[in-house]
Amino acid sequence: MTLAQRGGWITGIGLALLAAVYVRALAFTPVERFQGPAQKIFYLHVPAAWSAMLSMGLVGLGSILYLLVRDARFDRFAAASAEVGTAFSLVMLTTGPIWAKPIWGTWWTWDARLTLTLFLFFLFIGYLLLRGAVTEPGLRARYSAVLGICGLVLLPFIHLSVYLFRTLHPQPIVLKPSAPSLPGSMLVTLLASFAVFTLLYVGFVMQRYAVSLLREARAGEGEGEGEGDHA
Amino acid sequence: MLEVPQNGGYMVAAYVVTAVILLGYALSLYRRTTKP
Repeated sequence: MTLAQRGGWITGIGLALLAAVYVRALAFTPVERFQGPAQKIFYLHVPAAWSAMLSMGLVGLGSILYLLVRDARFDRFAAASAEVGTAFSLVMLTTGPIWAKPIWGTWWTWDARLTLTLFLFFLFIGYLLLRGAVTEPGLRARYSAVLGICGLVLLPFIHLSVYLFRTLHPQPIVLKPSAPSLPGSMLVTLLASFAVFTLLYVGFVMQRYAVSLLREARAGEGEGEGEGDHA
Repeated sequence: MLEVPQNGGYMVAAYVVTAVILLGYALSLYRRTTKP
């Protein structure tokens, strides 16, 4: 079984489990009394934010490793993780305002957490645009590695922004030093969603990595044919 | 007695948007990995 097929299977299983998370969140998890049904957006928004930050964290790690050992596999992995992170960022940035409108009374506010997550999305987009603009593979890998490390540096600021600045955004209720402050049934749904989003991340990255391999193989064939023509 | 807010429409919208983005991306990857 090829990497793309294995990634496809993991993605398929992840999507099926996501459907199960939908059923559990919508039908078997209690409605929060103060926020109403809109609070259930939490079960998608928070895991999407986690996956986006995981993606950028691993883009940064892949970038550091690439600069250290100059192995193209790390660059390919960072590129895959960046594209997948863009998709998860998009989920985070759409579900957030949809949740904010009924609870805060506004779709968006320029506070530290929201602004920094928007920067994260722009960094993903910038990273992908940079890769598209530079054609020489070695330069492309080096330039994008530097940008990937900048993204990694942004992550602690995003996580700590709710402590460092006055913000409408709530503080973490799971990823914090003390015990999670959620009732058991809500916590189980959230943790299940975290697991499913992480599984989707793995499946997506494997497939996207396979796309890079296919592109490189095609580019190699193209060069070979070109050389043949010249000869 | 506190009334639970009636904002289910926002919840549905968020769940639909998430499904569309993730399914769309999965489909895009599938097409790119199976393209001859």
